[in-house]
Amino acid sequence: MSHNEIISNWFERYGNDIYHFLIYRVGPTDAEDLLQEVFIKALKGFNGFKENATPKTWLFSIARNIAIDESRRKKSKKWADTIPIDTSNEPKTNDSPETILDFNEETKAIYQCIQLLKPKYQDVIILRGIKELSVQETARILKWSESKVKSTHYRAKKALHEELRRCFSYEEIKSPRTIR
Amino acid sequence: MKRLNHLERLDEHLKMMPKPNLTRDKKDNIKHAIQNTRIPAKPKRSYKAITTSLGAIVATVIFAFLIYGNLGHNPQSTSLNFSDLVEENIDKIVGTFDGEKFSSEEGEIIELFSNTVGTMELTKTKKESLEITHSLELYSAHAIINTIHFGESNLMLVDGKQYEVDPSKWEEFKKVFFTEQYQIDEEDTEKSPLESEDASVLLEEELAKSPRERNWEKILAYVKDGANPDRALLFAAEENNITAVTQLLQEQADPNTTDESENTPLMLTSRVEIASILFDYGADIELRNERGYSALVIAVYGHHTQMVQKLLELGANPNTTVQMDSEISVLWMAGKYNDQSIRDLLIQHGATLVDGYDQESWMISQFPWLTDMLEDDLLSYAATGRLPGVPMIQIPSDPNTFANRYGEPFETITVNDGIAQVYGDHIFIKPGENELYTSYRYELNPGDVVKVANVENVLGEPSTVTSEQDLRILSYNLEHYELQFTVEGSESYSKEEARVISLELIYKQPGIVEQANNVLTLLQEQDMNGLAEEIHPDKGVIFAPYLQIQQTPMSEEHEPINFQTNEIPGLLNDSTIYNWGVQGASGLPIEMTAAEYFDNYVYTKQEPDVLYVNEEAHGGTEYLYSVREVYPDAQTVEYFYNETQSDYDLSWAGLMLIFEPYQGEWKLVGIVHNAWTP
Repeated sequence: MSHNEIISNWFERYGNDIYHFLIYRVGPTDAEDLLQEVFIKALKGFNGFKENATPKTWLFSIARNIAIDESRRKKSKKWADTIPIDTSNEPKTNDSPETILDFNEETKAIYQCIQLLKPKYQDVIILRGIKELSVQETARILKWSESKVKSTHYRAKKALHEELRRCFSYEEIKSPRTIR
Repeated sequence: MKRLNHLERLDEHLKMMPKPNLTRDKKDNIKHAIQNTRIPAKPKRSYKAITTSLGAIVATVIFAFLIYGNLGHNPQSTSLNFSDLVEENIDKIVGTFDGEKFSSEEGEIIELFSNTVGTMELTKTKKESLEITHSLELYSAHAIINTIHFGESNLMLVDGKQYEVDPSKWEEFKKVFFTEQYQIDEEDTEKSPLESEDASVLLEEELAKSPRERNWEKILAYVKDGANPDRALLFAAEENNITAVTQLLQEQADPNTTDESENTPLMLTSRVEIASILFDYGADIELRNERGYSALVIAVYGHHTQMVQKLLELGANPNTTVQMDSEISVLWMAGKYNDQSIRDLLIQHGATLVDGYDQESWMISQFPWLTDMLEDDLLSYAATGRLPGVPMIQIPSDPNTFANRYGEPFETITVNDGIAQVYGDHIFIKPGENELYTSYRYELNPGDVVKVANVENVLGEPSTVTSEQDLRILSYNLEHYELQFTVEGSESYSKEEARVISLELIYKQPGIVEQANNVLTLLQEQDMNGLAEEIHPDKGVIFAPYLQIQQTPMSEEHEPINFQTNEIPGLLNDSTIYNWGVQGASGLPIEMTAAEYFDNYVYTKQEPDVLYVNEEAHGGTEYLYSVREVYPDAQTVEYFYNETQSDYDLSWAGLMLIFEPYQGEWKLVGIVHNAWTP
């Protein structure tokens, strides 16, 4: 199998997972562009793939690196204080987060507050919380110890909860049952 | 249904966040792109890991290096290959020269790089100011691997360290790459790597300054401009600068970053508040440094009760062992130290007693404290291999005596061809070919803050100052010993700032032991002419059985018998019966010829089991004077025999040789016998 085929298979299998990560990490608009970049980088860097890693964690870690680069790029364009959901700075598109993500009030609030967290917290919230990856997988992706994943995850949740309460009186939001 | 708490509710919310799938169109587009991307063929080349070696940060524990350094060897080979620094495949090289940028992803250029710069041998050099002319950023498929800088001369800077390189290989690459062909328009680059590059360089420069001149506001500004904050965090933690630590962590500094000895910020700080902050940002409390210590081990070694308490509260394992594969726990250490408060804290947090734990066995719970030593007469103690405030310490000393006196060492560390053994604060070093510990060192405990200026005010200018990486060694060359202070910080640190981190007392060879060994051989061979030459020309030599070196109530009117150098050659043929002293047990006078006395009281019939230098390990009765009282300026070597009759452990014997200074040499003034007395 050529490298192109292998990566293509991986895309088939993990494309959506990586896409989800990027949506929450850089916003839905950039997510689509960057998704392709992730797999092209994977293809170019195929020799760097270690047999003892899983394709899934490897792809996630590439995605994370790309997301970091992306936010640096934005920062250098003086968009530093702009979060992706603030569409005024984004190219006009029909793919607003609302339409892509099918947001209701609660999910929108959570989405917006995730964007306010520091990158490290975003990473762990998305991987552990939203994508429900295991501690071990998350540790591999973020290159942290498992105990660091656990402690950072806890702190990230606390921080997220704090943001929600501050901005959206989260306590008043009822328990989740409207979705699905 | 169980009521969920707020975080559990948040968990549920997060799990149910929308996860839309890609649209069919998008998916096909990307797949198409993957299948049609051609990867340029390029030589497969593997580079070795970038050691997260950050320039030379000085850790409080830089043990191995110091030991090596002080034995006069280099800690490790200072030359390495470029491939030791870079492991990943290089996909892109971006260069900066004279404000212009150059870039290439071409296989040819990458191969040229691999064959030139990639094969360079690097020799670590002392850091000096390097005017950077060229910089190269190396990229892998998805991230920057490293940045290397070159100066006018054959100097290269990577990870804050300077290396000397073969300029011809660099020239070869430079003349191909830094050409119009690869020059790119600045406008093309989206981000501004140049800007963040500048910030990194400026950050390095700021960190290289002494703590007093270091401007943390500037450092923070550089970090905000894109410089990596990790190295700064290590400095801030070591300086116990809470504000800087907090700000750097807010700027995404990695709380688990390590210095070149693999110390994390948590290991470097001695402020409990900083430990808490680091932990809050995700510091891993159980990480170990190069020497194998976790933060808790370091705190216990440093007798730092508050830090021990804080680390335990944060969840450090109370049964931590000194090193990963060691069986010695921190509780055992605290017991040996007789460090009650730390011991209690460990037990409160669940430390369990282990076999071999014996709180009473530690005879050397004396903590060396340099601040106090400087107030005492440090140099005169050091002149005979001792240190004020720690009477058990003597260099050289015989490792064979340690098991009985101090129990097992906490650690045994191989250094070059020898070993270092750690008994609590006290580190004894035995070079390979030696049977004795010939140097002693200790690392200053937190709180024992001594600056170079403090040392020089008391001891004067050091005989020599040597620099090694970011450490300096101040050496005081005494007649028979050398006293070394290891000082942290580069030359930019002023004397009021540069802190002493360890002290080492080194026995110069040949010294008194070698001379005593020579005398022992003369005695064994009964070479009386040779012996005569060793004897003090003015004072002669006394022979004293049962430590009777002075008139005592026991020996009544008897004075120790004394012979001058000219009497020695014929002594064994002298048939005169002398009164040598009194027998220890019966109290009867010892009346015999010199030959008979030698036979009975100058014991040389077997090889000694143990050797004591300047120690009176087996004192006599209370009526006897100590050797030190009678001979305050002397050096002594005692050969000790565990048994002179087999299986009779009270049949021990000692033969002590006492030397006094005479015209720059040591001359024998006493041959003293010792044996068990009822």
